[in-house]
Amino acid sequence: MKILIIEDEPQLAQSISEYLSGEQYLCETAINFPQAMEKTELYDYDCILLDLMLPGGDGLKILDALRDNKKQDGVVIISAKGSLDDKIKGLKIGADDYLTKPFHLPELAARIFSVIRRKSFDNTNVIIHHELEINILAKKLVVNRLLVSLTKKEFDLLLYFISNKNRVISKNALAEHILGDIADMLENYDIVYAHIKNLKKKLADAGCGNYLKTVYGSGYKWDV
Amino acid sequence: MIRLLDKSFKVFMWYAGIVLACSIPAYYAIVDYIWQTELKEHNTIVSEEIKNNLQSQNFSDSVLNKSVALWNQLQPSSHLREVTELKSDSTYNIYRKNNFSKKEERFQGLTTYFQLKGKKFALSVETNMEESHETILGLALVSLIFFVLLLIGLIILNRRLSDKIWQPFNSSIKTIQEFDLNRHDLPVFEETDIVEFETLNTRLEHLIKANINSFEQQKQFVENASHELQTPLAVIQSKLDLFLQEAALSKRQSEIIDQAQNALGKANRINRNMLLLAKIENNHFEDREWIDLKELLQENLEMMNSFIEAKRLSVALSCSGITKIKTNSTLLEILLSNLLTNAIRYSEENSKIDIQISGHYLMISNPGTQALKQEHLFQRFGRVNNETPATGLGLAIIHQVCLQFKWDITYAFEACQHKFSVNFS
Repeated sequence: MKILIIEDEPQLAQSISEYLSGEQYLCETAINFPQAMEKTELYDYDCILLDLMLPGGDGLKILDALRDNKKQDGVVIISAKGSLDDKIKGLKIGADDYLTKPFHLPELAARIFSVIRRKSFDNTNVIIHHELEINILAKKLVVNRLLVSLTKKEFDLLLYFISNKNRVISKNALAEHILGDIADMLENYDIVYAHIKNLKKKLADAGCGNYLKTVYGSGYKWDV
Repeated sequence: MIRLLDKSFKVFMWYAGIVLACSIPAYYAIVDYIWQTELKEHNTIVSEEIKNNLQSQNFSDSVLNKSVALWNQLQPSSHLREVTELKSDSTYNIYRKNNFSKKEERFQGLTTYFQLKGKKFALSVETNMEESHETILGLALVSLIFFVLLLIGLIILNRRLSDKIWQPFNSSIKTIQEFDLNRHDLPVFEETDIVEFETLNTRLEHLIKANINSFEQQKQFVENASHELQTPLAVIQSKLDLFLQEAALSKRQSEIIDQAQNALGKANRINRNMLLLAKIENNHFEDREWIDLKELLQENLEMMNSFIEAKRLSVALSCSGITKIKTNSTLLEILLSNLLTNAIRYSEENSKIDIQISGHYLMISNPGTQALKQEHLFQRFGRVNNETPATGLGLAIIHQVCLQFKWDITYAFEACQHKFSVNFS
C-alpha cells in the first residue's frame, strides 16, 4: 500500500517512512507545497499524511484540491496546530483523521491502518489474521470460529497491535493510546499492564498463538 | 488610612484653634486697657467737676463739715475725707464686695487731693468696671462660637471640595481599579482641565498600554514557543520509537529508551498544557453553546473509569437544579477533567470522591491529610513535583478557564477533605 508523507521536517518524514516501510507500506515523501501538489495530482495513494504548515502554501489547499479532483486517497493530517478549529476545519474539508504533533509512531500507524480500512470498499470489515477474525464494525473477535468476548479497551488494543505488526511498542505509547488526553495522570503503568494481561489471557484461552510478546524493559510486540 | 483632604483639614483646624485661643488674652488685654483708660478719664472729669463745684461754693466751716458728711453718706461712687497733707493723684483698681449685691465687684478708682478753705481734702472717685474673669469668659465664648463656625464651614467646604476638586482623581482611581490585564480593553480616563490630573492620566495610559503590549507579547511568545517546540519534540519522539525497533537492543538500552520516553512524555504534556494556557489567554476559544454540566461530568467520569477502578475509589454524584450552562464546551471539559483528575490522583485507595452539582454550582471533594498551600495553588508550576507525571499546570489551567468566564473558583480544606468549588454563574 502506498503512503505519501507530506512533511517539511525531513527528520520526522524520515522516521515515519522508516517505521512504516517494510511489512505492508511503501512510502514516498514530499517536503514542500509544490512537490506535494505534483505528487498528489499525478499518483494515487492509499493514505496521505499531511502537515498543514508547509513551505510554499497551506496544506489545507492540497486537501481541497484532492477533494475537487474527486480523489479517494485517505488523508491523515499531522499538525503542530492542535486547536479544535483546525481539527474541525480539516475534517470538514475531508481529512479522515487528525493527529497533533508530537505523536508516537505506533499511534500514527494505527490511524493509517484504520483510515485505509475504512476507505477500502472491496474489503469487508473483517480482518483475517492467522486464526484471528476481527470484525471491525461489530467490534467482535472470533478465534478458531469461537467468539472471544473482549472489552472495548481490549478490542482497541488488539487493533493497535495488529496495525503495528512486528514493531516494538513502548509502554508510553500504549498508555497514551489507551488513555488519550488524560495520560498525564498516570502514576504508573498498572492500568496498561492490566489491560494487556487480560487481552493476552483471553487470546491464550481461545487457543490463539502467542503473538503478543513482552519485550523486556521496553514494551510489547505483536510478533508474526 | 486617612484621606488626603482630611489630613490638611486637621492641620488647618489645629492652627485655627491655636490662633483663636491666643486671641483671647490679646483681646482681653486690649479691652481691659481701653476700659481702664476710659474710666480713668471719666474719674478725672468727675473729680475735677466735684472739686470745682466745691471750690466755687462759699461754705462756712460748719456747713462744709456737714456737707462733706452728707456727701459721703449720699454719694456712693465718691468719698471725701480730710487729710493732713496733699499728695499727687493716684489711681487704683480693686475688687471688693458691694454693699447691695454680695458679689465681688471691680472698681477703678482715682484719689485726688485739694485744698478747700485752708483744709486739705482727699477725694476718691470710683467707677464700677467689668470684672476681668467675666471679660475673659465672654471673649472665650465668642472665640469658641467662631471656632465652631469655622469648623462647620470648613467641614462643608472640605466635603464639597473633595467631591469637586478630587473628582477627576477619584475617577482615575476607579478606572484603574476596574482595569484587568486579562480582559483586553484599554481603560478610558475621564477628561479633566486640571494639569496635574491630566498628566497623571496620560502617564497612566502610557503605562497601561505598555503593560498590555508586553502582556500580549508574552502571551504570543508562549504560544509561539510551545508551537515551535512541537516539531522538534515530534522528531525526538519518532526517533525514540524508531530506536526501539532495533533488533539487537540490550535490556539496558531498552530501559534507557523507556526512561527517555517517560521524560519526553512529560515534556510533551507540559508543552501541550502551556500551549493550551496561551490559547485560553489569547482567546482562541470563542464558541459558546449550551452544555449540561451533569452530562459532561458523567462523560468525564466514564473516561476515567479505569483509574477510579484501579484505585478502588467510589464516586458519589448528587445533582439538583438546572445544570445547563452557556459556555465553551472545550474549556468546560478541560476544567472538569482537570478537577476530576486531581481528585482521583490525590485520593488514597479505597476512598470516596464526593461531587455535588446544584444548579450552576459544582463542588468536588476528596479526602486528604493536609491542606494545600493557598498561595501558590493556582500558580503555574506552583506545586511541581518531579516524582509525579503531573505537569504542574492543571490548576493553573483551571484557574485560567475560570478567569476567562469570570467563574469563581475556591479551595477549602474542611474535615480532612480537599474541596474545590466552582460557581458558574
